[in-house]
Amino acid sequence: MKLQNSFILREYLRPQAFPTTWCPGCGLGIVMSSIAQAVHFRGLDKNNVAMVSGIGCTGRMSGYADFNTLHTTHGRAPAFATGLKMARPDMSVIVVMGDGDSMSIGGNHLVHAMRRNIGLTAVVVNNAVYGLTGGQSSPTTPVGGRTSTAASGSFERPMNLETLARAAGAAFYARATVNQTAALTRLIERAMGVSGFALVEVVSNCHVLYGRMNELGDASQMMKSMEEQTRRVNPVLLRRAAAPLRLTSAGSPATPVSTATAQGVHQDPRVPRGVIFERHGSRDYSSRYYAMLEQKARARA
Amino acid sequence: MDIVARGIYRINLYRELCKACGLCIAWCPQQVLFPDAQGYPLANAIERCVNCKACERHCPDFAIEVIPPEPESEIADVPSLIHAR
Amino acid sequence: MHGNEAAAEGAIAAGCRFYAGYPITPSTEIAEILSGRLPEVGGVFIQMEDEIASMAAIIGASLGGLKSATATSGPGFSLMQENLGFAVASEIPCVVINVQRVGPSTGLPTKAAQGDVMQARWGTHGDHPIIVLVPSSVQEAYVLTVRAFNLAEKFRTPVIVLMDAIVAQLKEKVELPDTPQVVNRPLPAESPEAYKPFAFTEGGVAPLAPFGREYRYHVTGLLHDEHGFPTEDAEVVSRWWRHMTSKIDAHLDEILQWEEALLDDAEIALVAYGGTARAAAHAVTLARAQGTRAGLFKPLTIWPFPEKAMRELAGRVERIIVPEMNLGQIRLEVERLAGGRAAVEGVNRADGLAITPEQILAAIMKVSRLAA
Ligand SMILES: Cc1ncc(C[n+]2csc(CCOP(=O)(O)OP(=O)(O)O)c2C)c(N)n1
Ligand code: SF4
Ligand code: SF4
Ligand code: SF4
Ligand SMILES: [Mg+2]
Repeated sequence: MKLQNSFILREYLRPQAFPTTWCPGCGLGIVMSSIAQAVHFRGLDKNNVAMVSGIGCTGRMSGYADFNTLHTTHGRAPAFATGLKMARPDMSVIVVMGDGDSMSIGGNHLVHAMRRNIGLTAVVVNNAVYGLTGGQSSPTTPVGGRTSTAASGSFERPMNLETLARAAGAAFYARATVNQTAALTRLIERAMGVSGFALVEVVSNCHVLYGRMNELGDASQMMKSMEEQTRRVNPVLLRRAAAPLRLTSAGSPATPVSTATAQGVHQDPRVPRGVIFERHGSRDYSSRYYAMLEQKARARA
Repeated sequence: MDIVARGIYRINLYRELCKACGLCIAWCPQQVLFPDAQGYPLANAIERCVNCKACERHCPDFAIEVIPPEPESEIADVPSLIHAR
Repeated sequence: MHGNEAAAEGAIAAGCRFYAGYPITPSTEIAEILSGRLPEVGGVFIQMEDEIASMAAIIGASLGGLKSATATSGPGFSLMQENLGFAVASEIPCVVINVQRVGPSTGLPTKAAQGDVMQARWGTHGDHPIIVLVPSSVQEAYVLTVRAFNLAEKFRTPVIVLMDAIVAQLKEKVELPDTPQVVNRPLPAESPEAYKPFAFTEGGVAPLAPFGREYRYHVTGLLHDEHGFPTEDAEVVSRWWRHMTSKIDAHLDEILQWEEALLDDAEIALVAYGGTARAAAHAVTLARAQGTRAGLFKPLTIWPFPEKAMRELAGRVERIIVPEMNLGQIRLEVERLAGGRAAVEGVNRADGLAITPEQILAAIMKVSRLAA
């Protein structure tokens, strides 16, 4: 399953638009390559794939990918994509957004796309900063992180996209880092198979702005620290947590165990990557809508 | 395009796409690649290459590719009891 | 049937199969009616999280190949401006119905106004062509909504139907044509390789291939070349501007519509549109009964404004009166075109009350005394 880069370039990208405007070493190119590979491994016809992006360095991706591409306004990509998906429910629609794009200006659109559970594959490239506009604070800038609008360090609380996605009702949530390229590809591939709203948060590097302002080193150093600051989630444990073993009979009196369990358990401060949650039995809003239309048509006939 | 083929693998670098970011050099587990004066990767130790494609996968600009020796299918087709899928 | 209902039926008749919107008085009935009607014809109705998203969704759906529309009122129309500009720049056909209410801000939510005339023209940032139609009766609400879809498809542009609460809530008899003339989107004749989705043709537009065919192309709000790729090349950008302005300017005969009543011998012309044109028509009758030669010029297309006709009119009559439910937005345009050849005055109010025929008559009588 090893793909040649030149193959991706020829098949799924627009070589005439290259080289990209991205800085040398920016993880965005890796994300784009992973998306192209995910589409390839899913065996999709690229005529039937759309990429809808917002505004930002991340938003520029749609210009380079050889799908039906729509480079929208800042933050509104999920809303444009909702219209497109409802008009063409058979289409695979990939939505690419930056952290500011998706969580700040477009936060409401993202929340409601997740609530509706519309069948989109959202890729949020989280570089903790506003890249395109020159390194201002973003909703995911860590406390203490220096930006061009927080020279002595941000003291705003960063957004927790994972919790937001859970609460809003997304069907699937995975986190990947750009350095784990194979896992990134696999997670996007898996997200594209979900019926409903699937979100992949990709932790990426903006070494040119955020990295420089916070002395985090060059692109490869930033990627190496992603390695140290994240851990792979154990899918077996997740499955167990979702369906805990029942050791007592159904009718027996329950003893509250909420306080005891966490004691003595080593808390890992590293951010988990991999599939964080997946709602089983989820069904894409657009397919539910069209099923309703058919039902109505049958009732009339 | 620079082509270096000394060991069994070949490395193509597309200079018009390469931005000399050094990621391929940093991620090569075999220390195959070295920067030239401008930072472009040179496959100076191609004989150490194991075709893991870490360089290729980490290149954000589609500028480098590793080409296996011609009849790759022969190697890939060798049936293995252990890793059969 | 009231105006909102007529607009909803007009949309269905024109082939609209996608509606996204957010409730707002006094346009909500359009959404309510379409939420029932669209599923009956196999179309999509979706209530979005706000008007920004509604405008975005109809653009997305239009690219998916469905004729799309949204309806709103002042505050929502303000939110739509961002993506309205996107539709202009990327030449995506769609229809926006704005049932005006008194502004600014939340204003007088249930009261009629015509205060969005200039916003409809210039609301989104940057120079841009736009088509705005103004119905003054329920029948026109139907006919002009159908026409809005046709013009949108034909010229690949958003078209705004600018209603006011008077027309939207008025109950009138209408005659619906069995099959109104409908313009459908052609597929490109050329191969995907030769297809230029944003071709710079003098006075024309390339057919818009829907997403999902083999015509994969890029759509962006950045200024772009004929293939849709962003460019900063001044030469290409100026060709883009020529294309954008000429696609409307070369077809003014088709786009512009207005009605004239009793203007042949008129000394005083009323220029009125929308709900106010009803009172103006009545005022003309009252004035004629008193022996004053008044007439009515009623634009149905308000942007682009019927400039040539207005210039001619200003050369023919002594005085022009422009009654409107705002503080004089179209009067500015009429004054500019009259160029001093006819004196122009307004009859204005923006307090939520309709301008009455008597009010207009009083203005007519005042200027006719001055003329005498
Ligand atoms: C309505 C609007 N407001 C502001 C901007 C300016 N702007 C462009 S990109 C951007 C931030 C992008 O940050 P992010 O979404 O994190 O993307 P990145 O560049 O980091 O990939 C801003 C504020 C805009 N284009 N539109
Ligand atoms: S500014 Fe940052 S996010 Fe944007 S291309 Fe450069 S490195 Fe990437
Ligand atoms: S394929 Fe692996 S070993 Fe060979 S050069 Fe690339 S990273 Fe190094
Ligand atoms: S990772 Fe790619 S762009 Fe960067 S130096 Fe290597 S080949 Fe060049
Ligand atoms: Mg960012």
